[in-house]
Amino acid sequence: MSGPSPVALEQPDSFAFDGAHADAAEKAVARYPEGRQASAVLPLLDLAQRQHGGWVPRAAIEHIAGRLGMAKIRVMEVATFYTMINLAPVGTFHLQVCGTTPCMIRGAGEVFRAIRDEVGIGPGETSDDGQFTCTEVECLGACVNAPMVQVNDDFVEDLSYEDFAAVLRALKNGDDLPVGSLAGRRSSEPEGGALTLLDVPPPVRFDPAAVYGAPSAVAAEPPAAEPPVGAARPPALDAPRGGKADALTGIKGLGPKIESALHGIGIFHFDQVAAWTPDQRAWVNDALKLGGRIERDDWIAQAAALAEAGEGGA
Amino acid sequence: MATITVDGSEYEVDGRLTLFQALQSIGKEVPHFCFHERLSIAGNCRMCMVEVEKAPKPVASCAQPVMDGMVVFTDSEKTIKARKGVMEFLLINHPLDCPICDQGGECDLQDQAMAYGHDRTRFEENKRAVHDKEMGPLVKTIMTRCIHCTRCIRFAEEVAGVEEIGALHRGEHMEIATYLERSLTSELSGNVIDLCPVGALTSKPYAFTARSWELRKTESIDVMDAVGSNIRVDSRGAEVMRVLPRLNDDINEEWISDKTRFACDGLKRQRLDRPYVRRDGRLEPASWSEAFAAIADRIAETGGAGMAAIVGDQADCEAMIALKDLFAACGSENIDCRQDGAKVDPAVRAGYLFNSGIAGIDEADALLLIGANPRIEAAVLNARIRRRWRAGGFRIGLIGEPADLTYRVDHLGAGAETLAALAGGDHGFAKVLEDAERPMLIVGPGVLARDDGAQMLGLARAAAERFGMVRDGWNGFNVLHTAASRVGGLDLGFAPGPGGRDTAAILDGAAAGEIGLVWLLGADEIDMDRLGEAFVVYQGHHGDAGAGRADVILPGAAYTEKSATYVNVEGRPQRTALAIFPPGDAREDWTIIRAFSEAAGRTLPYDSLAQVRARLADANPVFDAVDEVVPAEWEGFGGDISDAAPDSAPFRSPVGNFYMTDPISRCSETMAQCTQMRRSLDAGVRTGTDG
Amino acid sequence: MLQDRDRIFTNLYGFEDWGLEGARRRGDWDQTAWFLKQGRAWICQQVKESGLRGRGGAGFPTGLKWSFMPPDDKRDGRPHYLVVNADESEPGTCKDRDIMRHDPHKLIEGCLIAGFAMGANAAYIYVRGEFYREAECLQAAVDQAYGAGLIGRNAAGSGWDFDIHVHRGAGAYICGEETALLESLEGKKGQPRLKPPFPANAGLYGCPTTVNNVESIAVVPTILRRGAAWFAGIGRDARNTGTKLFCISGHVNTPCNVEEAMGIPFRELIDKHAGGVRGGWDNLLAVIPGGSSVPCLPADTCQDLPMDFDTLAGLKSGLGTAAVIVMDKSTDIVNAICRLSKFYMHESCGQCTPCREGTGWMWRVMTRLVRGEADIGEIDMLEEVTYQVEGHTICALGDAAAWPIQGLIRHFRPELERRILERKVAA
Repeated sequence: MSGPSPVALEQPDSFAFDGAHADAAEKAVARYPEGRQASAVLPLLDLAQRQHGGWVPRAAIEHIAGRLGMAKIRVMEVATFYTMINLAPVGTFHLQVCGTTPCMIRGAGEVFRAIRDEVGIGPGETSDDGQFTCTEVECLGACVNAPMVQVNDDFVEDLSYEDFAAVLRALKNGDDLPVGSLAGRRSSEPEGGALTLLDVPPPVRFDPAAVYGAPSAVAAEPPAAEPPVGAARPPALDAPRGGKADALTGIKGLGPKIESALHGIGIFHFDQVAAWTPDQRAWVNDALKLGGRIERDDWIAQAAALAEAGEGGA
Repeated sequence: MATITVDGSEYEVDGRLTLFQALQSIGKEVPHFCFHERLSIAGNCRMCMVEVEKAPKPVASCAQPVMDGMVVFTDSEKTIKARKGVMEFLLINHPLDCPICDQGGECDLQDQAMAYGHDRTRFEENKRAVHDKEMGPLVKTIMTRCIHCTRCIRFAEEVAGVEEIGALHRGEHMEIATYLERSLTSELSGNVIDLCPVGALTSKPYAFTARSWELRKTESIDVMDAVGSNIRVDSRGAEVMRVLPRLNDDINEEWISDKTRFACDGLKRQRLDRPYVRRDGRLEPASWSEAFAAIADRIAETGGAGMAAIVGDQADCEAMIALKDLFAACGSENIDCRQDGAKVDPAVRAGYLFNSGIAGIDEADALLLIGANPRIEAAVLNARIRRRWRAGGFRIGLIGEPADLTYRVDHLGAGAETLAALAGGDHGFAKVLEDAERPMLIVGPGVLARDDGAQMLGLARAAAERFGMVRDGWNGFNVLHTAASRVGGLDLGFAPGPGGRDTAAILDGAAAGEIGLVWLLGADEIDMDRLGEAFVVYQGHHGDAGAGRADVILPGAAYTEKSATYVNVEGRPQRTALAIFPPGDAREDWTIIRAFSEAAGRTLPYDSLAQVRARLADANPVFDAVDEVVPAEWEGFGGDISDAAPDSAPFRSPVGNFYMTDPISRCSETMAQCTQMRRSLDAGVRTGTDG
Repeated sequence: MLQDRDRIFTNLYGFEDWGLEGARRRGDWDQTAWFLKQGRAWICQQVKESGLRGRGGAGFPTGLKWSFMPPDDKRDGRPHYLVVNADESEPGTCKDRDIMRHDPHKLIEGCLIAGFAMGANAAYIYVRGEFYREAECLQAAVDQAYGAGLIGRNAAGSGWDFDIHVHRGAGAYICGEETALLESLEGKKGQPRLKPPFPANAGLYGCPTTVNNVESIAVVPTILRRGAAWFAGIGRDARNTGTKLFCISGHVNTPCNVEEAMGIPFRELIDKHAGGVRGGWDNLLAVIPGGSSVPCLPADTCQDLPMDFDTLAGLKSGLGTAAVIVMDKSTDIVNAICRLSKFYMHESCGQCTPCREGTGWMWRVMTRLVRGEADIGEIDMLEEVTYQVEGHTICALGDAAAWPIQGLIRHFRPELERRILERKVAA
């Protein structure tokens, strides 16, 4: 288990994500900011492995490198660094036996013995029929349910020799994998039933005044989206005209945050900004806590120029 | 500035430095493996740890910024213990194969083990063995020796710009490898050999051929391109064993190209080691006097107007001035140092120099490449462009063929039309150049050699002037040459005099029978078929195209075999030194011409190297300023930009195969292997067999 | 013993609905926006006052950590990130798993509050790859939260936009180290970064980032709802406050996870919740009190031992993740520690010399010591090697590999010597 993972000698010529995996890959890439697509390398390797029957072929590494704009060697580095990425085929059932101390002292050895007896393989080996691969893995984070085995995506816990031997026989028979504790536990509560959380009172509804005194004493900032309605509030629109707001961030000193706050008070267009009176400017300044930047950066002139130039549109 | 206390003494150091640099600046040597000042900081070897007061643990000095008031101990018990510990860890899995290791004698690990190693091991376990990795014809790997400093990985990614080396697996199984064990597709790959602090990456061609202490080390200059990289030639007896870089921050820093480093095996093959004279259609060995007599007889027939000289890319300045003087004495103005027909004007120095200086790239903030492919035309210079680009704020526009230059370029267009538009301000990229404080452009050798090269040069000049590239203290107008001889030849005036013929006219004249004698000083890149019936004298060191066509061969010396002057692309005269003697009867080139002049009754007025060099300085004072750059005056040059209808063909680099560009590299087996390797990789990429 | 009414994770065992409805019934997402309206500084202050220390192992004060993030008036345009460390991999530790699969909304709500407190509009939750089902459950809860408008634009009506992304690792303990985690999240090998710069200045994508453990984040909403004083009032002293999830594994009669008061005496913890030591208290040999990285303690030190940060640190051990590994007298203690050495060798990233080379060396010597195949002098040598690793590496994995062996030699040297001598006699 401590050596580098083997690399398959026989490799397919090409790889591409298929239907559901392609969609999932697309979603995975979209989770990261523009220009940071390399972040999706682990999700994509995982998807490739799922699609390709439990291992990642070289063609997939190259496909992913191209997809994410990474050098192939960088994807290869990642693929060889993480233990869950297999670069050679594994059995239909990948028996990942935790061998680390908490499981070891609770009988992980018995689990290995059951695998040896039932399937005839030891750590690092695959059964001749390709059904089972046994791997000794490091702590899987289910220590209070030791010993345990991860079979593909699922944990099987609280194992004894007999119980796991039975699991293996069931798998060989095509039966479903029993998931979770084999000792009758729901999860991590003590065997025989939980000793705590038996008498949880219903939660008290949170009352700021009760916990923190008068809310006014601490509630300082009103939310930007709902400023107090005042005499000098500038005329608001319910929605941008034609459904398309101007790109207000074109005004120097006006970032996306302020833009969204302005949307919150019904300001969507340069001509609206350009038309603010001094009182209205003061109101917006206070309401959105702009610290005087309307005047400092001369939004009115900027907005007028942009409105003139027709720089609107989203 | 910051004040730090080191081993009890206070020092003022630059507060922006790392602790490691600060300690170096005050003369405290800190042992290290992974740190390299031209690479990013990795901090992984842990050898440079020092004790710092108030820090709970020893501090890796390479990654620690200097802080005012720091109290540092470089020789305390804690420091020494940390280093000894690291050294022990490095050695437990390092093989004891120093006697058969090519790094032996110049190995950082060996050296530092002397200071920090134990005299015996406490490690009773089996040592780790690692499979060697294939890295192509240049780099030999013995990966069991690797100490995982990652210098090679960082070099490939950061300097060479090819993200092709990585560290696979993890923990004690971590191994350095290229993707699928392919060669690096870099022109700078050999530098990883120098960078590797142990014997994991060594030179494949040099393997097991010599020990470093047996070698005579001669400081010299490279002539494989026009950069003028500073090199050290290591020789044993009559053989150049290897070429290594020498530090010169203004030129090559500490890198050299693979051609510079590895073409030296070409020095041993197909050498011209005695004079030859063609008799009855066959070249036959001859004595010097027979050869000289044959030439003198021919000159007597042709007269000055009927003779011509063309020099090749590796000709030195001493030989060129002697040949120029000889031709002048014979009454010939038909001489040219531009065998490719480059349309540069010898009269205006600023028009043919890399005016900003190579180091000037560091200061530029925008770059326009005009038909230049620095990656293959000047690989080391290209690394500097890449570094500048990596630092940010450096847009690069390219007019010419799209190419992977190892940095991102805006591809503006293919050729003359785009250049004309840009020079007229009529292009989106004009804004980038206008906004830049120190914009620069580089005109490539392929552009100059076009028929409309003068017009293109004129357009480039117009662009430079429009975008303020030439102003007080800054000249961003740069011409890139590939020929080491070119700038020197232009500086000393090896160009047609009044009424004289340039290369094209010489060839035309030869084809038409008007030129009866052509003297080729190492010129092999011209079309030999166009020499017609002319009597050809080939003076040079390799049996290449010119020698094949020659009627008389005068065996000269290669750059490693003579003390000679070359002026690099910036206009910096530098001198090679004799590392080994030329083979057989071959002689330093200027002495051959001097001897011939006497035989021909037109004795040149110098007979020592010092006198030739005085003559050079007389021809152009820049030759007095060895190793210096004399800035060139900005004057008018280039052709009329309003000339109609430039050639619509795209700008192309004259360098088709980086590895074989001159008689030496064409004779190099190593370069042949590289050529083959690159072709198979390119073919693989095209057919998609590697994905 | 802590009362059920003071327990935060009231669905720890998953008997109730893990989903949004169940969570709301447990009091989650109750007026979350109110906390955000109090401002960043206010939240940080509450968390500081609660005395909450990081639940991932190092025990760094959470509120203080958050306050390292650039305040609003010092922002430079870079986004801020909250990264939640759900790479639970420290041997003995399995508490975050229960939060993710049984009470994920506590974590999600905590992310919103913590994220807001550090000026972040996005959080990435890095879940160890092996927790596939847990990540599924967490993702489903995140989707529920989006669907209910609790996160996303104008999260929970607070006016603050907040996104949460679940990112799965792929098998590497080292990714629990915060900078290795960031590297991994950026799509690289999980190799720890050199510090400085610290993540609060340059973390994920070079932006200001705070990395917090799952439990540290998930307790925050309850702390704010019940007040910092409530949390600070639990525990032994002002530096060791609150409730804590303990994972009790090894040779106890009923191993389990349980939320208890910080500082609960070891024997009370074991006897009340885990059915006591297998074979009775007197059968106790040793305890690893805080996950595999902390040195073991022999039985005689354990009886009244308060399980908190400072007490355990004072005994040259540590609370770590509060993963209590109990070993009875049937345990081959040398082999148990040797297996940990193998773990660290396997999980060393290989980047820096002392850890890459030292972890393998230590494990190999340990395997010989298990069988007594060594000279007595090699015990001292091994201890020296551990000190040659400790404190000389880029990250704390080197220390973590050294400490268990140091603990073994400190407390069980006679056992090591006995094996060597017996083997010599037998030979």
